[in-house]
Amino acid sequence: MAMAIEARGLQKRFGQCWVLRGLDLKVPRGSIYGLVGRNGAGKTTLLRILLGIIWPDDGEVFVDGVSIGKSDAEWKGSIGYVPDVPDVYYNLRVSDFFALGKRFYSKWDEETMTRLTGLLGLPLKRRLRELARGQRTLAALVFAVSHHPSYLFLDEPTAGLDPLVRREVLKLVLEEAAERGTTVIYSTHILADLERACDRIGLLAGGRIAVEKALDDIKAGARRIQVVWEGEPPEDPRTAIPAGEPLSCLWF
Amino acid sequence: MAGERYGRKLEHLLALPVTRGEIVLTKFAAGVLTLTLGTALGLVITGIPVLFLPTPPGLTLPVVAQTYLQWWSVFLTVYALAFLAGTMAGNFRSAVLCCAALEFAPFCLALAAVAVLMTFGVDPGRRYLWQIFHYGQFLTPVVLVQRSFGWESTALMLLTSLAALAAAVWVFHVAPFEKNGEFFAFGNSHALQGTAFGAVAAVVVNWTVYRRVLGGKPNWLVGLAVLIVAFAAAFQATRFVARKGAN
Repeated sequence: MAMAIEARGLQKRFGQCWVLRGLDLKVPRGSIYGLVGRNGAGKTTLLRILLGIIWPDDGEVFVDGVSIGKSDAEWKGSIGYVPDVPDVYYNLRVSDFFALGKRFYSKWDEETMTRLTGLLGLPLKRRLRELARGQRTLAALVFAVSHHPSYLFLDEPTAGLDPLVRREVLKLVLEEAAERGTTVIYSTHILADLERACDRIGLLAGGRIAVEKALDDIKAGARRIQVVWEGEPPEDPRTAIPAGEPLSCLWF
Repeated sequence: MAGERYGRKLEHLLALPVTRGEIVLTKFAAGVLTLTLGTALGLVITGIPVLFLPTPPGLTLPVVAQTYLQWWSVFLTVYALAFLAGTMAGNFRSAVLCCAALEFAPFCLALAAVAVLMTFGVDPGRRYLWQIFHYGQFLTPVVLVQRSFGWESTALMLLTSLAALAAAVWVFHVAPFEKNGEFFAFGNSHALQGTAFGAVAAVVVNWTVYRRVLGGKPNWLVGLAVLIVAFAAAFQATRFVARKGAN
């Protein structure tokens, strides 16, 4: 399977705190890769390293097999990025924000921008600071996809959004990936979003990708067992599980 | 720029297909343009009366233009140093400190050298110490505003500005752009604040102790102890305040 993005042995620490400890990552071309992990697990740091915004203390990032090193600009023409805090260019009007995109990206598609803006009901004349957070996220998303990037990086874009806006965001991402084969890295806490959008999941824990599987494999390996007791349950409820069941996690 | 970095507003810009060099040069150019237009406007406003109204002898348009050029070069230098500070610092507070250090540190160092040498009883006649103090003033561009200098100072200011810009481009290129006030070369902002306050406190306390308390009779061992204690106290106090703030 051809890898669009690959990271080898990434290490990163902030002061005394290690965030990434020899992280390896492989994102297949055209996949929607869900990145999950607890708060502070290093999801945003990983994304920022992959984007070349910050640099790792050790390790390398490859895009289509080529190390990006500390190179600037060139490959960034083929990426779209939606940060978790879309507080950018506060004073710009939405239309000026998109005009900025037109200047930066040679493949900027005005038609796509117009279509999406109308579809999502973004007010072009209003300033970004006057918009609600969800609308700013949508504006950032339209900005990110209107030049049809080969790689799309989404850092918790749906966090704190209402269900309707969340659905719009996911729909847009799915459309972009389906129509153009965009490789998407999608960092989120919301498991329902992962289930709906992603075909591959990486669980970030302890500074490494602890589990990396196709979503179908994860689903196939998960079972829910409902146990009902007559009267009081036993002291150790685990005794109720039939012998031979392979267990990695158990919730009561 | 430091404020943008701390608020993570710089991130989106860095993810766009532009080089860091282009970002920093564009930002610098915008400031220089504003400065130049402001100075030019001032020159026009001052120049019209000089040209068309009776003025004191010697006050000609070339003289006024030269004055404006010199002021422009001084402000450009101050701006370039502040810009350099902005590229190095991770947040606004650190940028202000770093800017103050770049603008005034050379003079403060000269002042500190005088204080230390006085403490150790070097040059009792204070002939050379006074010279260090006198020439130390010229290390701070702001001082030039108050005095009349020739073309040499303008050339020097322009060279300093270019050097500061070159340094800013380089720093911006290699800077890690991490939150929480990381400096590219000086550890973190809290350490820098501690060092700055520590150094200032050490000089002030040392000077005060000898001038006011000990009546100007220097003893180098006591002087060294005063310097170390004052520095350590201020450094620890700053760290304590910083931790309280962080919590």
